[in-house]
Amino acid sequence: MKKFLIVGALIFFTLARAEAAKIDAYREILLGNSYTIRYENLTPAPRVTNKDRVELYGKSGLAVEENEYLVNRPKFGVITADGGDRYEEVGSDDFFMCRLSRGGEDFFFTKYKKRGKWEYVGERKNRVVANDKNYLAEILEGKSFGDADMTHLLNAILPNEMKSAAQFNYKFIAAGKIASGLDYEDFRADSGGVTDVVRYYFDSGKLVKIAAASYHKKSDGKIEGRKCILKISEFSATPEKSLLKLPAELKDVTRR
Amino acid sequence: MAGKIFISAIIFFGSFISVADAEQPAAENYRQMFRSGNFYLEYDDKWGVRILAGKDGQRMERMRYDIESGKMKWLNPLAEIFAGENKSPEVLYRDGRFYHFVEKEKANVCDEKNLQNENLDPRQGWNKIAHKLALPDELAVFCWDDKFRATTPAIAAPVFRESFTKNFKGTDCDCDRYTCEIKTLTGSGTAQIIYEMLYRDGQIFRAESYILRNGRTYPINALDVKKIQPEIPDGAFKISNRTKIYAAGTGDKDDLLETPRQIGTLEDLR
Repeated sequence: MKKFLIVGALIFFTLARAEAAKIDAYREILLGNSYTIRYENLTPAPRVTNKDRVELYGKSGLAVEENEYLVNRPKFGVITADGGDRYEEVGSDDFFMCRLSRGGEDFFFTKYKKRGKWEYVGERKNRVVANDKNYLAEILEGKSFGDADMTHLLNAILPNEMKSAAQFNYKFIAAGKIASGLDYEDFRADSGGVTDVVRYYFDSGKLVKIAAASYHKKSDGKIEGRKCILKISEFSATPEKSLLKLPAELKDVTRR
Repeated sequence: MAGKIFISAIIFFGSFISVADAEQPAAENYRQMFRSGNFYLEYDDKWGVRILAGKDGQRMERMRYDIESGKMKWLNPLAEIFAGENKSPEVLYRDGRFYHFVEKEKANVCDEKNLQNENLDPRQGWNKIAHKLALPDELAVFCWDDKFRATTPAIAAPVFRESFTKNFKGTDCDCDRYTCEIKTLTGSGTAQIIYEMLYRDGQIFRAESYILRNGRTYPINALDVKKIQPEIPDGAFKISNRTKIYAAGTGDKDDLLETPRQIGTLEDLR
C-alpha cells in the first residue's frame, strides 16, 4: 500500500511538472539573464486613481500607466538583457518610454517620432543623466519587464525563493489544448483577498500569448477585477546588443 | 583564585561588550518623541531641505526653498509661494482631513476616509498626500509604525545590531546600525536593508540606508539631519485661518466646469 502511495505521488508530481514543462524553458531563459522579448499589451492599463497608493519603495516596471499620453492605448514593449545590462522600452506608435540599465545606473529617456525621425529626450533633448538603480524596488517587486503587466506576469514564472513576500505565490493548476490548437498552462495565486489567474499559450511549444485576470471582492460584495492580454512576438535567449547602449543622439551628461 | 579571575574577566568583558554594543542614549529620546507625535524635524536629502512637524495630532510639512540661489525653483513652480516669509505648510493633516495648500491662503481638502475614492482627480496627487507627511524611511527606524508610512509585509521591522565608530568625511563619529530582513515567499531572507544613524556629541546628524544582497552593499539613500527636537520653533509654520478651503473634486459638475467649490475657510472647519 505504502509503495503504491509513493509511486502514485511520484507519477502525480512527474505529470504535474511535465504538464507545466513548456513554461520552464522560458523560466530558464529569464534566469540565464540573456534574452530579447518583444510583446504587445492589447489591454490598456487603467488610469492611475487614488486607490493606487504610492509605494514607499518605488515601482519596478516603467510607469507607463502614469503617462497621460499612453493611457488607454495598446502598448508595444521590448526588453533585452545581456548579463547585468538591460534595456526596456514601452510605448505606442510614435512615443516610447525607455530605460537603459548599465553598471548599476539607470538612464531614463523618451523617444518620439517627429517628421518621421526619432527624437530623444532625457534630462532634456539629446541629453541624459544616470540615476541610481532602485535595487529595493527590484528586490520587492522583482525585475522590471517593460510595463507593470508584463513585469507581473513574467515574475510569476520565476522561483519563489527569488520573490519577496510582497509578491504572489503562483501554483500550477492545469494544462491542456484549446480548440484552435494552442496549448496552455494555467497558474493561480491568492493573496490578501486578491485572486490572480494566468494562462500562458503555446504554439508548438513557443510562447505566443499570455492572458491574465485579477479580481477581488469589494466591501459591498461586488467583484472588481481586470483582464489583461499580451501577444508575444519574440522570446529568445539572444540579446539585441545594439539596444544595450545609449542611442547616438543622446549624450550622457552625468556628473560622476 | 583562578575561578575569581575568570568570573571577573567575564564581568569586565561582558560590561565592555554591552557598552560597545549599546544604542546611543539619544535613540530612545527620538523614539519617544516621534511616538508622541510632537516633534520638529529638518533634514536635507539630495532634493533640498524638508521640514516635517507634528503637534497635538496634527502633521505638517514643507520644503525650505532657497529662492535666492534659484535652487529648487525649477523643480517646483510653487517654490515662490512657499519660500520667504510665507511659512505655510504644503500639506497639513488635522482632525482627520488632509489639506493640500496650492496657493497663498488657498488649499484643497480631502477627508482621510475619502482618500482612496477612485473618482478623485489623479492629477491632484491625493494618493501621494499621506506619504508626504511620513517620516523619511531612514528616521522611521525610531517609529516604524508611523501612521503616514506605507508598509509592506516583505520588510520586517528594524532590529538594532551594533554600535561602532565610523569615519565620516575625515571625522570619527558614533554609528548605530539597524537591519531589516527582506522576506521571500519561501521565508528565508534574500536581502537586508541596513540603516546607519551617525551621531556627533550624542545627537544624530546623518542617516544612511543600504541594501545588503549576496554579500554586496548598495546605497539607497542618505540624509543630513539639520534639526530634530520636540518643539516646533516659533514661526516655523504659519497657518492662516483665512485660508480658503476647496473640496477635492470627485468628478461632479464643478469638476467638469473646473470651478472648485469653496466650502469655507480653515477657521470654519475647526
